[in-house]
Amino acid sequence: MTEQATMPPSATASLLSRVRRTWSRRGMPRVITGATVLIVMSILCFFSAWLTPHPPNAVDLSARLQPPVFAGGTFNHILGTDELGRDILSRVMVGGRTSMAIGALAVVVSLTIGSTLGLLAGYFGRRLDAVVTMLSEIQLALPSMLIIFFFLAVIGPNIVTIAIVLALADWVLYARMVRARTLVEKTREYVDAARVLGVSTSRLLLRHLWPNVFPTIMVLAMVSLGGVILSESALSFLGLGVQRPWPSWGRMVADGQSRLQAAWWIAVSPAFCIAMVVFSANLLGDGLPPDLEGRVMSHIKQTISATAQSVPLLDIRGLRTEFRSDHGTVRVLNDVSLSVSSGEVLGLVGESGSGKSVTALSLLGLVPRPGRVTQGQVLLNGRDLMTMDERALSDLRGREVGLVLQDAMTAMNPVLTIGQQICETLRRHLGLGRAQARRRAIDLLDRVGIPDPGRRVDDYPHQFSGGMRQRAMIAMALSCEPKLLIADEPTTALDVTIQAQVLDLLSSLKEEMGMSLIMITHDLGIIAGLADRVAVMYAGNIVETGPVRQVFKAPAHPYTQGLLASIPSITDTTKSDLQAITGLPPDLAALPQGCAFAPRCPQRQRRCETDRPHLIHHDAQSAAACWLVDPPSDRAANSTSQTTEPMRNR
Amino acid sequence: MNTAATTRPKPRDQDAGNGHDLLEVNDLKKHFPIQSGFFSSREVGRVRAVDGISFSIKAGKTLALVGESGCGKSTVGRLLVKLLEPTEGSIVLNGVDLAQASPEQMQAMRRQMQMVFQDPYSSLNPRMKVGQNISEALTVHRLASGKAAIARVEELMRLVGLDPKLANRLPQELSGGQRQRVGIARALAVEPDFIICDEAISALDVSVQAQVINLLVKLQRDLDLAYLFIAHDLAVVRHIADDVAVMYLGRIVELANSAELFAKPLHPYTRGLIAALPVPDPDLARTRKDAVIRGELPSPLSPPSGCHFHPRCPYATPICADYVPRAEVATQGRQVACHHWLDIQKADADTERTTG
Repeated sequence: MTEQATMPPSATASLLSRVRRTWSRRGMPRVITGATVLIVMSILCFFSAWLTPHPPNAVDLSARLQPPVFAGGTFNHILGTDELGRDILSRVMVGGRTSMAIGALAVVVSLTIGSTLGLLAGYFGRRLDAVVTMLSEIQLALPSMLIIFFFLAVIGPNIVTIAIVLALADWVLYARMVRARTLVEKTREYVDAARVLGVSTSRLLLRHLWPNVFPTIMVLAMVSLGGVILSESALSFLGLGVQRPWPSWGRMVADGQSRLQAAWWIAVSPAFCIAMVVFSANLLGDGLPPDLEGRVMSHIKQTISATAQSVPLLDIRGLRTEFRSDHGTVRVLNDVSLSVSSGEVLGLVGESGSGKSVTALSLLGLVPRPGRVTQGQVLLNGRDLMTMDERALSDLRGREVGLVLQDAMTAMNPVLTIGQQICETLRRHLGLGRAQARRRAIDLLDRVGIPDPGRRVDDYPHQFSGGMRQRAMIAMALSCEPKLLIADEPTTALDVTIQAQVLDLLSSLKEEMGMSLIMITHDLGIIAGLADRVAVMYAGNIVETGPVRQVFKAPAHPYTQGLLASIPSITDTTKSDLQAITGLPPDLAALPQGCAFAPRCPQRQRRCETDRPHLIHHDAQSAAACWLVDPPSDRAANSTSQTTEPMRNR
Repeated sequence: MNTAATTRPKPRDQDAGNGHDLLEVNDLKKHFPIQSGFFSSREVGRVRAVDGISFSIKAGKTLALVGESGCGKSTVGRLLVKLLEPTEGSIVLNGVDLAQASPEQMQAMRRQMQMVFQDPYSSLNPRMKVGQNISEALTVHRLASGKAAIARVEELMRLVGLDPKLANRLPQELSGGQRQRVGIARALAVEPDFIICDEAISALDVSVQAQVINLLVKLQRDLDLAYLFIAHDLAVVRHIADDVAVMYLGRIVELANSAELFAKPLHPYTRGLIAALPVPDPDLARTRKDAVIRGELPSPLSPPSGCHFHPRCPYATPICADYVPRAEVATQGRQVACHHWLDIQKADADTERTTG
């Protein structure tokens, strides 16, 4: 078990680090630009007392209304002077101090109040939640600007009061977002785990929930920093801001507007600064990664839902699929060759990341970007799918090849009825009329064993139970009577009794319609009950293929042997340890040079670590990619011609 | 510090092998009210997620709780650790009734009972390092701090077969199997007597599943742990459990020693469940296609009257719709809740005689 530590991280972990790298490529420049501008401006403003070239309120009537240096002014007043001869640059710096202090203070206050209330409301729910929600709704219903005017008029504007009044308008945003995030986070198991450990509520909130909620709030805080500075400017412009003679950016714009035609620079310089701060705060907020896990999950979901449409009697030759990123190429399929004859059931087994689902996507031309099929042929009835254009492929999907996926809920459109979704396929591929299509849809639902199909055809996917949804999806995949059905983990999400029903259905439909079936699953039990032939995949390679009975009774490849030995059997009465395969499935981005299974293989030899074995037939129907499997000597010459194209080491 | 830094081998001098009842659950119920109304919250119905179940677990033994999704097995697990408050019934762990326990008592009891969760991707705090995830328990219960805590985390990680160097990684850098080991290490940190494994291996890859099962078995042997193993995979249950309780819509329909249950299931639902299981043997798999259970799990909102299983049961008679079957003792330590289990037994024996 200690081999684990030396193993490369799993496929998921490497996907995550890849996403993180992509983020750093896309988000990093924005964060750096935004942060740099903000930091430089903050330093200039907050240290303005020492940095200003002139005292900000020093009146010099001899130098009234001088233009900035780029408009013909002097270097003494780089940004020019106003009607009292005060240096604009100095005033902008000092004004920025006021504006930014108000912005930062308002954000901190509103963030603190809002997220505290949001966290408590989200976690405790019930009455507290009702109160907070009601308060925030009331607040949102009132015109916030009017309230701000009212308060400022009553208590009188200064930096602190302005900041607090602006914060009171903004806390709702934080409260609502933190509450929503908390509601999501608190359902996650690590929160339960902490409670089971006996972690106190305050510690749970501060140490477990808050760090997971905080990153989202940072984005909001950055964006609203810009908003608050704008509001402050608007207030000053309306005369409710910081009082003269101390400038703020809004005040300066207000003062300058009367002379906009004669001395535009008085208003434009502070206006430009406001724009810069707001822009760079937004840039920073945008660039921050809102939620890494969320992105990975949505990436995975996209990959899954991209398969939601379907496609091709089948001969796959040397299929190679790669995912390219800035940090190299990951080969997820390595010269996969397979064939399915008419009426045959091929079971494709493997663990997650072995490439079994990508095989299905590749042959249908549905590999999500940045993935690409770089080599190989997929012949369906003798036509090469790899050379077809997208239009021809999409005509083929659904019509000649049907696809059934694990999660029918994500594969179906939630706003269309089951009937509408089946009819759409029928009308597109078979050109049936509305009434005809509907009749056939009802007929199909009846055939897959949905009770009362005439009524249920108008139900939406969520009104179906999991098992019924899977049946409906099978009906959809079968609607055009395809010659080949690909079922990707069709029963993994179902209960065993329902799984047995769905497997029975697939098996009888296959007989009835004489189609071929590719059954993709990690469950060897399902394959044993259903498949005629098996192909076992490991790290993007087919490591063994043969008739189901032979592969199960006399597995040739050590991986297949290990897999079969590692699953507990219901008929096994001994209580001995399971023969687990040690280690982890390899990281596809860092495959060992030799056999991908070598590091976990109990029978590895020196050769296994240096040379990659090819799939070699050891009898007429079975093949394995392992150096330990000898081709029968009498047919040695013959078998070399049957091996797939030699795999080049990368 | 010393006691915390060494793994406690728990010698149970009194009745070592055939332990005492560590946990005793009696007539446990959890009803979720369904409320409606905009202003008043009027109760319009209840979901009887757990409806009066009783079982016990001996020290160092494993009871598996099996059933399909929605049968209430996970709710039972959450009731035991008080993530949910029971509606009725008692949960007696080491002589303390958790259902009545004060918060202080409960806090102390949490050291005796831990949980391993299903999803290795959400059960660890993603913003805490692996080591922090594990040491959280040490901090909360003031078992160790500083250097001692680090040493203890290392020791726990070795115990579950993880390289201690991984302590400084974030959970998302680990694989599913490794994360599940972290989850187990976290549960072990407080040195519990009893661990609830809620579908703890069902999210793992096949080849990794076997490793984690072996780990759980080894830990049980070495630390004399008792497990409540909540699962839907009967083959795994067959391998790991001493006793098995089969649940259907909030009730236990059969409770028996694992070997006996799989050799001769008495309840029609158990029979169907075992028959529906895919068997990784092509010859066997093709001979047992008969006993597929019809229909779907009914809504727990309006469960069928009488025996909940009767609409799907091939042996159902009118009595099944009218009366809830009581749990009958079939043999020593074996219970079955079915009106017809004796008749079914007889019918089986008859067919065997005629065919054999």
